[in-house]
Amino acid sequence: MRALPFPARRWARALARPAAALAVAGVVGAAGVAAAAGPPGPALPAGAELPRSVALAAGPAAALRQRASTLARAVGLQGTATAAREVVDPLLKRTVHEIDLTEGGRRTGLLVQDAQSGRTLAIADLAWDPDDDAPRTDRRSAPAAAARLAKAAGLGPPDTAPTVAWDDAADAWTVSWPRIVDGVPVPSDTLTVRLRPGGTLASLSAPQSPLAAAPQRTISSQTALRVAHDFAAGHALDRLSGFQVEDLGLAWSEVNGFAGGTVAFEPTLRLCRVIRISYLPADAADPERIELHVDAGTGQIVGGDQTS
Amino acid sequence: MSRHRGTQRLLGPPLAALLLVLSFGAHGAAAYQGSAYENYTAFQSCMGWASGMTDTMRAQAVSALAALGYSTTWYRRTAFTRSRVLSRAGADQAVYVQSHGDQYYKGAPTKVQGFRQDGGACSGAPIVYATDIDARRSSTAAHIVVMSTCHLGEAAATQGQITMSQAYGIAQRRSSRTDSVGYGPEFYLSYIGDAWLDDQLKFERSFWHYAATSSTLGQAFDLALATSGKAARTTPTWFGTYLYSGFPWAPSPPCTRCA
Repeated sequence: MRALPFPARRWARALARPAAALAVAGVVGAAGVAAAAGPPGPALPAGAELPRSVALAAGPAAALRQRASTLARAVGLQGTATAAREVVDPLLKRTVHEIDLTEGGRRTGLLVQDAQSGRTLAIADLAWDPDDDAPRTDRRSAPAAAARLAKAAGLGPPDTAPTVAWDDAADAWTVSWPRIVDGVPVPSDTLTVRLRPGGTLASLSAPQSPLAAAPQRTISSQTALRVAHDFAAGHALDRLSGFQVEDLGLAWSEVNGFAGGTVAFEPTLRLCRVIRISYLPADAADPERIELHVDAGTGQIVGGDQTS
Repeated sequence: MSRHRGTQRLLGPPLAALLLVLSFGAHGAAAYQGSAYENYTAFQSCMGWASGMTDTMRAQAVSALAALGYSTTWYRRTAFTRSRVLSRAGADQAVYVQSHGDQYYKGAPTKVQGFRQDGGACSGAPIVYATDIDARRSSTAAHIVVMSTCHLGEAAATQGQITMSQAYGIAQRRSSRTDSVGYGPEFYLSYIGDAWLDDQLKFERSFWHYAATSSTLGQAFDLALATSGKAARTTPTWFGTYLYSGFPWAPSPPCTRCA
């Protein structure tokens, strides 16, 4: 089988936006195309709509393109900045600016900046060149190359040793610096630079969440474990095979509505004790794990996560 | 912008929308079958609380698959059963599963990749094995398969056992990022090791956003890696054709719905 030739793919792409617009308008749903023939329930929970693009005024868009072109050159990306837009995510409560890089009619990269501060959040190179795969970078040399690219993007990497790993799916060396604030990790805010084997930038991720004020006094590990034990007992988790509870320590953690009835992300992280509950289901080779974010000041469960 | 290109931009979207509506009417809901499954019971009812995360992930997938042109029906609770999955597996061209996944023991020491059905049961939910799906599929690959589970992006733990991607006709290999033909119109996305719901939600949200708007599925994967804000501990992976658009009418020739 063959994929579409380029002109046909362009047409297919042209259909995507109207299709999405029609779906939003309910036209497609009425035609039965997005039929939710499963049991009763909302097709798309309120507030969970996919991120939407908003056009920018000409002046701000031009300024974004100019900055993006400079940044792209600094990190060695091909193309010029041709389109800038605002992207609003109603679920994650994030607003960013996205700038496309193009060359010869094709998209060669994307830059993402925080809409308020202008800080670079992500850069992705979409123009692969065969020379990118020449093996000029290895596990030993990757950190220095990644640090140079992070600095070129205006993001000074922390003065700590990064982790380095090869990622087959990204076809890149992944160099990561954890964010640590006053000795407490911020797991969601890792600075990651992905390098092609030839040492050029594949992508860069630099999320930086705002942090709530730290509580004046933090609850003890024992208190947090008791909160988790009470929660587990209240939901009969303590009767499951292989049930265990452990305190993973303090972390700046996400408030996401876990166990609260609905997904409700807050952009600001809170200082929490992270408590892990694990158990082993029948037939499973690996345990399943639940983590509770117990607010280090109030002792309330404000978020959490679970393996699938 | 030239006048010609300006006219294209003005007329393009309404014309494309009209074509889209007409083509849906002509081909009906069964043209490009998609199925989305959500294990609501295991992640919400059985835990005694509702996080809403699995609903959101399933809904994102259904919304994006519909935008790409798949007639996607979704199932959860008692409607998401092993028998339901297998009855639809042969005709599915797009599949999304949000459930527990693992390389389960199927007569120790043999492990086979699979995922749990929902079925409304809190314990001992039957497993849909890759071997079950493989037995119901022809050699034609599905177009898009997303296993939003742990472990189903891994190589087989027991040598010689079929993986979940292979069960849907998608070999565990990746095309070059510039090969416009690649392995044909096929793309598989899942996770290596433990996958965490919060990360899956963010990663898939970003993947679907780009896939449904302006990017090939491989580019959408790379963009989601860069922009989603997922934590490092969740490791997504993909197989198939990097430059596959995701549209179901891509398997030409003949491409009767292409310009």
